[in-house]
Amino acid sequence: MRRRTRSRPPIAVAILAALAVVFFTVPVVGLLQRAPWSELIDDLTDPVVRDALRLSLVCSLGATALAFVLGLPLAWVLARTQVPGRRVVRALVLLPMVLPPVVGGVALLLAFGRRGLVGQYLDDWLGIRLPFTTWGAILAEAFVAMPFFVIVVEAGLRSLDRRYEEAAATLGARGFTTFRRVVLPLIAPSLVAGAALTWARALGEFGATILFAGNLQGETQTMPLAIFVELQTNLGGAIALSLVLLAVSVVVLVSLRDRWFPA
Amino acid sequence: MSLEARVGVRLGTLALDVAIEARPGETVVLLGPNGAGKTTVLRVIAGLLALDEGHVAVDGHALDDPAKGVWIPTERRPISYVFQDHALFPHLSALENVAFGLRARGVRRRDAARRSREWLDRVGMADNAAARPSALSGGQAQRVALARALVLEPRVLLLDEPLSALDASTRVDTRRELRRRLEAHEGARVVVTHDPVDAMTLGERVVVLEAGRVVQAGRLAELRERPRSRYVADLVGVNLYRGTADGQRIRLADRGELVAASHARGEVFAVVHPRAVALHRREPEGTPRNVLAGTVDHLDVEGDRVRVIVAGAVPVTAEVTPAAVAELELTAGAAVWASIKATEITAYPA
Repeated sequence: MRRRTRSRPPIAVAILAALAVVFFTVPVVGLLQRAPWSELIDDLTDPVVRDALRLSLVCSLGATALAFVLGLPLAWVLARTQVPGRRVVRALVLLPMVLPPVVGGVALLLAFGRRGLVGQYLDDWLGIRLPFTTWGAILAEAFVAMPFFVIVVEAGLRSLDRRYEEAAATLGARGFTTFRRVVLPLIAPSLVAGAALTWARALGEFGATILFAGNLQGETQTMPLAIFVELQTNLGGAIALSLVLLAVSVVVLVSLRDRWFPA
Repeated sequence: MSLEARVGVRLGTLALDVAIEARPGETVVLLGPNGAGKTTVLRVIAGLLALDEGHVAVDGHALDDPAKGVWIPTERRPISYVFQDHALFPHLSALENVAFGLRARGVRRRDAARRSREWLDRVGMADNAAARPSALSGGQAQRVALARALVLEPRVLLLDEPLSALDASTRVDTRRELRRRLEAHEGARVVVTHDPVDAMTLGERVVVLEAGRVVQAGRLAELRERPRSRYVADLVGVNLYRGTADGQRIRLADRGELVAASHARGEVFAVVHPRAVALHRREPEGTPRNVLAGTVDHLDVEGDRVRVIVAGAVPVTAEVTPAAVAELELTAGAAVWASIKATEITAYPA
């Protein structure tokens, strides 16, 4: 009898593990086998579907851009400074990752709604109305997705050898020059990974968006919202949109595999 | 082009208090064991760490002086720093690395590239201008790092363990080459090293640091002739004793006695070169005034010489030829007598 060097799992464990794999796989197979491949093009050119595709692209990219503009400075402050209350800030940043998005939507509404904490002044003084607008959808997605960017970029900054920044300083570079010419290029992998995760999360956002921005076709109805609506009237459209989101997820997963899932 | 500093810093358990001075065109070597605070001194001079006490001045201009509230940040100091392991920017080519400082100081792209190329040429790296640091050998990376520091024509050049990242085969050549390049630089130089050979090759003056304090400073020949601490004696490879002299007799601090040819009085150091120590397997008779009984602790082979470390009432290290080791059958544990002529013992006030 040949002896095995690699240990085999006990039979009960193997069965349960296999069940888990089946549990993950079957829904994807179900989606793929019901896909109306021949009518896919027609389904995707349906006005509702087309609007949803366009809006999702705009909102998710907008949310990712917002994450860059606000999240990068925040990540730097968290990673590089000794500001008091840093731990509290980090906890606050992480909150949207564990908070049910629907709750996030309610909170956004109470803060930025027309009679909200901040929203009333935005409306009265500046005439800016966020809820039930495309900007509102972008905000809702950013609220839920930005933490991914902050976390990944902060980790990237922390693992960056400080000596490069010190070397830049001894060569006469000021803080911003060092950041632009040394720090940013060296944390580029983290920026890309953080942006990809943020974008993917924003693309799938449902709860906060529907509560804060509503479900207006062409205005705030992104792909996940359209899937929800179409499921009841136009199954083909819902499946087509689902396939698009599945494909995007797979692409993000594959592009990040070296970083997150080393072999 | 001169540096003058007194560095007082508390870092954890290390309390650093070091005065250092370097004149234009002079290389001062900071020598000391790991953890003595050598790198901290460089970091303070460069402004990567702030002083708690003391001052740093270049050409008489204060850069850091807590008592007067003076603080010039790193990027505005006329000082270049060659880091241990070089810290070349991994995402930039050799040329871009050298040009970085010029660009940061507002030199136009074209001029920066031209001057950087000249410096790469000067350090013999013109052919590797487009190479990324990861493609360079340790010696090549060091030359690029040196060019990156020197292209800015700093008044003070700091080098942290410039030779430690190199393997033994290239070290000898690089050491000589580095000395030549340092001599071509008009400003003051401070080199940190833990290697006495590096110190000897690179520097004119040596400041020995132990646990944050200067234990001895001077030319290397002085250190060799008159070491003032166990560390320095070990570094230059001589036997050092401390005791009280009364005429020719020196009563050692631990136990035992040595007899010197010269007269002295009071607290003294006595130094004996291992080459002046003769070993015998039987108690010697005749002229030597000092005979120390002991056993061989261990033997270190150094080139064509063997250092025999003898343990006994008065421990002593002797340097003999391999032939003598074989003839005397010296092995660890062997009983030996070490004899030293009185004329070979140099005593000087402690």
